[in-house]
Amino acid sequence: MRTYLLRRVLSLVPLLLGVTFLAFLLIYLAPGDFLSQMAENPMISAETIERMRSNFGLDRPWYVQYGLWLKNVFFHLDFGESFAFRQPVFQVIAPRLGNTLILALAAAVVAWGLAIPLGILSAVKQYKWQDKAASFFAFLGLSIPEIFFALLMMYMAAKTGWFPVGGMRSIDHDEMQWGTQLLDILHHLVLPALVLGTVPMAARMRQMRANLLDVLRLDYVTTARAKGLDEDVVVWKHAVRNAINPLITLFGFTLATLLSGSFIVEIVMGWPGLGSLTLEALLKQDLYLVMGSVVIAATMLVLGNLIADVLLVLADPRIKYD
Amino acid sequence: MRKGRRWSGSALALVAVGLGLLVGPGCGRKESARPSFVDPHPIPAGANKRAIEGKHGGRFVFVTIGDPKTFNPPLANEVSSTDIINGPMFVGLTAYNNADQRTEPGLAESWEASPDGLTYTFKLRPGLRWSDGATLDADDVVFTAKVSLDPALPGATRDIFQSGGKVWEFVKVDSLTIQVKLAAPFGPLVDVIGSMYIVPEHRLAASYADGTFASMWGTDTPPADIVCNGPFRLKGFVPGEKCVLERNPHYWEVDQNGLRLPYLDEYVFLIVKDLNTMALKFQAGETDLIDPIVLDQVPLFEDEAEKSGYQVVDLGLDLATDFMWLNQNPGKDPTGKPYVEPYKLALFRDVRFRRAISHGVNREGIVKSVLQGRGVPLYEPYTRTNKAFWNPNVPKFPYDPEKAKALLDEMGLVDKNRDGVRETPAGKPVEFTLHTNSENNLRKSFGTVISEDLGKIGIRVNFVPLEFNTLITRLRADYRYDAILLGLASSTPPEAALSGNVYRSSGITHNWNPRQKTPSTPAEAEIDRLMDQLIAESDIAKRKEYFDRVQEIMGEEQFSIYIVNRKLYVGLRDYVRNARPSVIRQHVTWNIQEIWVDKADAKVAAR
Repeated sequence: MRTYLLRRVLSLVPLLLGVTFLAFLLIYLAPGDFLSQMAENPMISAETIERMRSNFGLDRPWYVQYGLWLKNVFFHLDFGESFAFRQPVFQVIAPRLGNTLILALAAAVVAWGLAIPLGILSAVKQYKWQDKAASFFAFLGLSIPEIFFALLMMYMAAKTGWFPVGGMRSIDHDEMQWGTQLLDILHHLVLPALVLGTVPMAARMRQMRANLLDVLRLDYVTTARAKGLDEDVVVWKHAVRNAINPLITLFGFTLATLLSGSFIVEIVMGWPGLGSLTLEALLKQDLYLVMGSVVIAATMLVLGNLIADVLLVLADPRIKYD
Repeated sequence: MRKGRRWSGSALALVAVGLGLLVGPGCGRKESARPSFVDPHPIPAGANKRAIEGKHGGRFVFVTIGDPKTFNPPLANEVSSTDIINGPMFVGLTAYNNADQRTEPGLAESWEASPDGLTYTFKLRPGLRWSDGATLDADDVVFTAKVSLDPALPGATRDIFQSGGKVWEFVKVDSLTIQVKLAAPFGPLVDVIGSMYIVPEHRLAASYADGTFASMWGTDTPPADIVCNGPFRLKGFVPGEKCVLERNPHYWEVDQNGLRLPYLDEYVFLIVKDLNTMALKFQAGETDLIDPIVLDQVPLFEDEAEKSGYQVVDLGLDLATDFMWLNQNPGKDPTGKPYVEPYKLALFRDVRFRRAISHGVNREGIVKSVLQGRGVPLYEPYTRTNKAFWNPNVPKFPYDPEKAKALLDEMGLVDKNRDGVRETPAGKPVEFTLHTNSENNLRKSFGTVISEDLGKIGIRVNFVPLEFNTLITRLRADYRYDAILLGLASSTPPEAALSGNVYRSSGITHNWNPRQKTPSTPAEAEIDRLMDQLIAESDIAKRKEYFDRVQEIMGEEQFSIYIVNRKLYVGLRDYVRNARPSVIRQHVTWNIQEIWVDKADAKVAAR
């Protein structure tokens, strides 16, 4: 197991090399650079812009820039400085990453907290109205575009006043007690987590339903029922535990996709996460900030998958990595 | 099955508990009477008295679309930073009054120019203090000039603060007196000098000496380290969420009762990246100002105004302009290929062709159909809301398809093959590609109407909106395009002398043919001469005479074909007092030190 983990972590290195190389190349191929927007300002002279370009090293060929960046990463663990913020990129990214993790976890809780009970209900009440209602709910969740759902929720919040319109904290958050502060953040978290969690929730619910239906048809369930066990015990103790197994694996994957999928929700609903920062950096062509975000996103994806694999071993003693 | 029903009930209960957890608490607001304002520090001897009255306390909430990138004025050069630091946190020797469109005293209470216009003497107000209580004097001004004009730092002040080819020199005479020495006269010096925001030498000199100035006062700096001289100082910044400014207890302006300004306890910028969310937040009452309201949303905002307790303020016609130009650059790229196809270049450089286009564009139609009446046709570089420089007598070539056709016929451009598009005598079709930035929906509509209008006079226009960076690369780096439709925002102050880069043939934003070594047409040579005279003239009435002539030449030549002048709207909550909205940016918050909020529950911060 330990060698397996080590191998997986080491496999990050070539992956990150490939991803950062592609990202660098794509940013280079995109027209303009960080200073292009400044060129439109009639108050700034061409000489000033050229001077800044050479200060930032943007006048060198892209492969030289990439080589220097790699060298600094490998020998000094220095991921460069953001042009816009003039701070090391991870200093800019760190607080945002924490917020994105909070949102992703909350969305996972929404998704799984709703998907599993509803999936079980749906399977046990197959073809009854409960099943149909849950399925309708699931298909609605799968088919509604995230951006539209987010805007709809924002509109709802503005009209009813039940929830704040975007953001993560109230304006007087700093003057609150810590308990109220926590509730304040939770209050802000509800809508984004709901929007972000809806698609995985619907998908997991369908999976849970299908898995449980499969298991309920197996011989050992029939045996359990035949020996007169209580239906609750049959379903909860024998069937659900087996049916839920594949979903545990999916948890890791979901976490990874939630992290990268939260971009749209973050931007529309004003959640101060990595997504909105990355988008701004990308539009402004803040090169090293984009590279830093790419590295973080790729690492998260790999770690998410790794967590999934580890969870699988823990859940199913038949699986071993060696 | 009976058993099944029982546990499905518990599953439903689980869901209900989940949902219950999701619906969090609402926020309640306490009502309390407004306590009176206690000022712990003595008022400076040279304090500026403003003829206004108001009540202290409360908070004003505004939004910004991006995070500030730095709190260091000489390093800031994009609006998400400058909107927060320039004005609210830092001020200059002079200040600009947006409502009256004139320059007023700032940190300097008076100034004097030598008769030859080569020396300006500024007198600082006595008793000025930084927000940490330290004394503000001439050394700070000289230090600020040194860092602002340092070519190794990324500031843009250096590009403006020069004349006669030399950067201005700042000299300390005594602790309250500074002299500015010029190599050649620069007329609007007093108006421009306010754009150099004074920074504290006692806090920044050490970093400048050891070469770390360029990373000083980044957004991770503890707020107490950022020492400023404007009405507000930094209280806190949360990346991606908000930037909170609080009252500067050492500010140097008082109201008519001698009470220190600003009235507000806090001035908050919420960071909202999405324009729809920005609009919703304002309508939900979470913010006090939306600036500007997107033109096509104005009716929506007007419908909600009364119910939601705000006003839609019509600021009149914007100072910004929308215009198009044809690429007249005769140069070739490094491979020897001309930037513009030679037959097209010949058309673009012919004034009759440019006038025909101006005659061909139905500006009234654009105002009616795209702007729904919220604007006027535009023919001149400076719009009529510019009190100092508007020239109503600029030659105009308004919509008249017959005149347009006659001009094109006269040039020998006729539709021989009857396909609806004219051809040159050599048989090439008269067509060009028009670009604009795809992020701007109104401009995309303008472009569509323009290409239809010009189609009717036999010019085929391929309208291709491009993403902003792509467009800028074509415009500034590789010069490979036919025509572009863009806009130009106004500087503050809206001063003609600051637009040298646009009108001078050597300028980088002299869009139709930038960075010329020598002017390529007599008209451009004439404009260059006029701009030289203008910049040396300190009397604004005389500057206007020179610029009137520049605008007339621009009209005659149609180097830029002006399209429309839009109106400008902002939304402002009813309880905001002392606001004097102006068409110049910052439209509403330029006098933030005078603004107060008339709300019963506004608190006064304890000091």
